Amino acid sequence: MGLLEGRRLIVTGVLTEASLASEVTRLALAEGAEVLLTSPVCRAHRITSRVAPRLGVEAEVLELDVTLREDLDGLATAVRDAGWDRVDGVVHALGYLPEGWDATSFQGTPWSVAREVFEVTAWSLAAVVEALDSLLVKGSAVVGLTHDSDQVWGDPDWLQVAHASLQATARSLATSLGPRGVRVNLVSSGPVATLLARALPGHRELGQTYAERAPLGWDATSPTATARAVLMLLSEWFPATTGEVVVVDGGAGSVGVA
Amino acid sequence: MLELVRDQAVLLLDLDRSELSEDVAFVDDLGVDSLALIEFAMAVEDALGISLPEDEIAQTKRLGEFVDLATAKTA
Repeated sequence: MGLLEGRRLIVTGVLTEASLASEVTRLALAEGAEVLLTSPVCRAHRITSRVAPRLGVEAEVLELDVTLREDLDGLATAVRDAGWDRVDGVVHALGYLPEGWDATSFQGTPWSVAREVFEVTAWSLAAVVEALDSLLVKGSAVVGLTHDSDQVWGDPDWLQVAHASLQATARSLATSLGPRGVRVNLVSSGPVATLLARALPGHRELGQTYAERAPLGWDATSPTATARAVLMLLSEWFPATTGEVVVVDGGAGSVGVA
Repeated sequence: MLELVRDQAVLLLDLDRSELSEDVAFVDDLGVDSLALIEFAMAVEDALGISLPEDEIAQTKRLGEFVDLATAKTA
């Protein structure tokens, strides 16, 4: 019997085959889960729809742009229309660099750009959970992907600030959903060369830094270690853990700079 | 190969075939962003039944380089 046998998962953030959410989907299917993917409309949705069957997902990709109220309002209905009466797990793996994004200009970033980054990265965790609230049951698990925001990596940027907010959002959700037996946790991953990550300046160098510092080593070209941790948190093997951030970085964060 | 790639570029990137010389640059000349390039590359993958690694796709700056990559993966 697989780790996630019979569990029904909503996975956001599958864009390309190299997405972290794609690896989560591959592994979850292999462990017996059923998976529905979401993606915004237009080009991203077309790409996700091409990727889905390559991952083994035959169901139609649900339309979900987390910045659109009508998409959020229609999500639970879309899931029910797919034949599901409950959701056992939600994977939040959303990231977005809006037009006008300039990672080298922290103080010069306008609110409109910072707001979009915050909305998609952090606020959307609460929005997606709220949209699926009527389908969550005792034992459901929400797992989001984040990265270290305790310290500034490279040039400061608003994505790092948004991830600090995401971690606070997860703790707040864990508090409010805990009495219903719904867990909310995050996996903080070392750098992985996804499409979004490759758009960030210094990503390659950051991967090398992790590889050099991590006692276990770190392979920024592989999403598997991070995805496995997500699966564990989605499973029933962390029944008393919520509001936590599980760090998957080869141990890089535990080593100080000499 | 070049003609198949051009066909997909016309279809997926909404470009005119006359723009698609081998030395045309995706970003600088055609304004193709990373998402559009991925969708285009996936269409070529499906048409040829091949797999193109994303990091190698990202390194192709010109149409001719993409054709070379697809050709190499087909061989």
